[in-house]
Amino acid sequence: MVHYKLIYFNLRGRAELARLVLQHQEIVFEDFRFEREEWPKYKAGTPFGQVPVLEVDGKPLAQSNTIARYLARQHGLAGQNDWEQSQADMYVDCIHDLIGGTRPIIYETDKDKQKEMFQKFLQDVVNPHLQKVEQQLIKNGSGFLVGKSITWADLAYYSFFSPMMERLGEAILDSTPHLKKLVAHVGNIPQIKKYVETRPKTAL
Amino acid sequence: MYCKTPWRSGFNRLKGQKAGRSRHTIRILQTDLHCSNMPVYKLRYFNNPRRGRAELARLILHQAGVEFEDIRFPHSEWPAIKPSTPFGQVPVLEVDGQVLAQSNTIARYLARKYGLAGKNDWEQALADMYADNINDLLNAAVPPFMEKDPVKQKEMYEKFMAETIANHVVLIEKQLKKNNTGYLVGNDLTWADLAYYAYFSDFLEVKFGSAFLKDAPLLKALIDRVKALPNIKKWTEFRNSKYPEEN
Repeated sequence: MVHYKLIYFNLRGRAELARLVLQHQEIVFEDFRFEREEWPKYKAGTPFGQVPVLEVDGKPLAQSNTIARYLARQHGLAGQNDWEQSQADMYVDCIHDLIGGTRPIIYETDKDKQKEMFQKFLQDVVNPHLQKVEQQLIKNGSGFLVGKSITWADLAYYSFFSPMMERLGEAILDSTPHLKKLVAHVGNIPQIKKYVETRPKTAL
Repeated sequence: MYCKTPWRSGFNRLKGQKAGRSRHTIRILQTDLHCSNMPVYKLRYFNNPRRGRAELARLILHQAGVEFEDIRFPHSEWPAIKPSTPFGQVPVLEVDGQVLAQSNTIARYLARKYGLAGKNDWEQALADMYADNINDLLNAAVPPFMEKDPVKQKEMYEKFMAETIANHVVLIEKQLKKNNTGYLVGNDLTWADLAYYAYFSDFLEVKFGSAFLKDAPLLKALIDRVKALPNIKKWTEFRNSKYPEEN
């Protein structure tokens, strides 16, 4: 049995997609979390001075999407063939871009300014993307983003939009009912639901 | 299993084109000898920046000797093309008419198909990791690139080189030493090496010179090795003369 140790801050952040992949497939792993003050202690031991890092039988793998993709491919959540795997990669890259777009907003300390920035981000970046994704979902016809069954791409959209809905209101997905249904579906999967209810409660 | 037809006839055709064609969509067409068991690839991107987020896919295709239509369109055509893309962005890769978006996804798909991705799941993951590093570095270069005030821009680039780049060079040199094969992953060329070449040589070395590599002999050797690969050399010489570097 391979030993996985996922190393990250005590946050959801960039490690949550990997955690969701592992939880969905019910794979046992060491969910190693440290507080921000402890970071200097661990930084030098990482390949590129960043986390998350996944140790696979002690061998380190860095970069959040690479880690999640590796786990998805090893454990049947990546897509049924090369083309589907690439489609899933593509969707996860889109989420990666959206996460990047939220960085400056998340760290804005003026709450009024932050609210304004979120509204602009929703309007200029998220909504156009949502419309495109909704079209792709309808075209795919299975309720999932890729192929006929769940992939890590669906988990990535859940991972991003579920906290977004908590923060900005469920109505943000009202114009994209298929995506809203998909996010709700993922949230109701028993092992995901149980994990979300019991995971550490963190701001990010 | 893929055609060895030379793409030379494609660029001979291009050499014959008149000056001023750069305003119009330029296509490097497939040769007349089309192999029916080969997918038809069309890579679409802006003609300015000419390399940008599409260049890694081009390097992979050229290194693998795979024919493709290298479509570069002017910004004036973008409003007409944008709605046909999956997410309103380029590059996109059409594979027998089906469309794939996102530059690294496109590059990974091609690398895996043509033996440039790594020899097993672990190596493929390592190559993905290095490509993600480059993606982060590309994003990190955007703020100084976009800065309009030349004095502030110079300052931002200097900080970028002295901190972001210098720090990464130290870490990558360590990884190269640890792997000890001259390549980033395993003992052979992968798209990770092409990604590092594209960023560190084609972008940084061209823009800032080689001083930042003075304490990184293994990284310097890697990018020189990639630069000298026959298919890469042929492509970059052609590309540099046809599409001169634009800062």
